[in-house]
Amino acid sequence: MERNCLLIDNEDQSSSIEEIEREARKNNVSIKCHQFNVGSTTEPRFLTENKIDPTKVIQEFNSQFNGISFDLIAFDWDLDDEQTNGVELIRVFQHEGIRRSTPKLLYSGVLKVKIEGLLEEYKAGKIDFKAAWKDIKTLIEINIVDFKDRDEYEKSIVSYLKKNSPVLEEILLKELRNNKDLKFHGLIGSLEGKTFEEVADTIELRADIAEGFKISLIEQATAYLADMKYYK
Amino acid sequence: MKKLIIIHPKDESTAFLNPIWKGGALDYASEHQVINVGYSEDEHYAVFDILKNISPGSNVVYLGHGNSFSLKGACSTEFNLEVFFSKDNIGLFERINLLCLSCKSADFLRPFKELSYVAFGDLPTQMTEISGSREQEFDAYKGVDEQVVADFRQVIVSTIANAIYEWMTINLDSRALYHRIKIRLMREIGAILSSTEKGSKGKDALLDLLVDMRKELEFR
Repeated sequence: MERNCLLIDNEDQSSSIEEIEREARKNNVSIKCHQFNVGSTTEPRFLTENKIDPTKVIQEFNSQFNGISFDLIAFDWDLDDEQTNGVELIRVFQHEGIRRSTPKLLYSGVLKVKIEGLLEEYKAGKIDFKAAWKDIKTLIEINIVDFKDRDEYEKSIVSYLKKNSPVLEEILLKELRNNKDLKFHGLIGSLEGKTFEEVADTIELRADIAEGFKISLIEQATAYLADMKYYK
Repeated sequence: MKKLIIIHPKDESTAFLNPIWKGGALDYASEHQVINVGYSEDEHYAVFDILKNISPGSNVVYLGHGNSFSLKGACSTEFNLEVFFSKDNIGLFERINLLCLSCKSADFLRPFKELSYVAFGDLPTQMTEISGSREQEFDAYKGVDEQVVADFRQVIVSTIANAIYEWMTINLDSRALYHRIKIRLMREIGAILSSTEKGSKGKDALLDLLVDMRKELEFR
């Protein structure tokens, strides 16, 4: 099964993509890598007054990657923007329900410096525990599967995708998006008549509907797969 | 192999359930007894005697009308026993496994913690029940007509007869029987879903009845 990966970075990642795909072949994993350049001065359509505009980023993401399911999205921490870094972008994605269930990895050439700096400031009394905790809590809450230094992130992506089989929700979303034009007809009234793509979007946005959908799917699949005994 | 007793009071309005015990499902039960309780109090008292002497762990099926407080006896123009089983004699079902196919049997049996049972919620198998509900709430049982009721009855008979067959042949306990009935109902639902033309009111109404029946199923 081919795995899809997306790199979100302010610089062109073509050489990293080649390395990831080469490393994947060595490890007998099939990975297709895409990139999304955010914060680059060569991509002004994401910017408002030369700053990253999260609303434009989301619009462009939906336009470029509509219908593609990712097994992993890797964010660069430092997007060369004073206001928006990779952590903030992940938070925006989560808040907007964009690829909510897709595992996310954060990488940076200055990752250790960022974390150590935070702890040093706390130790030196320049910030209080509340301020230090706020940033660490943010990192915990955005549900990142791994933090990596920039010089090792390509291997980490391959390693992660090799070790981690897609979970049910990822498989489900991929199958729905692969058949995005089909319309839903089933036991969930709120999804009746929606396209599979709309269903996938709803599942990502609404945890309550996602749970009902998965339960219904599993119950129907189990009933369908069972070799039931009949007396006649 | 456990003994199976089926109690089905005579009543024209539940005669559609007869194939459950007449259709061949019981051929596989090594020891079984069908009591199609007749139109006299004596025949009902005789059932109490049978239950008093039943071996612990036996399987009993009750088929008939019920409500949140009782199970009904036989009914004809000359005879009508409104209360056959109630809280006063519910102890007769202790130490046996009960499959109680009647309306609101889950509400009736739920308070009695010592019982082991599989029971149901609403089972609207008569148009009079549908009409009665619509008098209270005008859009109750939307799209349900005589054909839907007939189809619903057929699914009930087939599901319960096959569940009893499996109950008898592989000795399921109440929990397993409950799950088997749920999976059988889901299979029926899946078959209807895959054959339904969108917008077919009758099929949608039948689906609603089956989904509710499955949702309201209970066991202990």
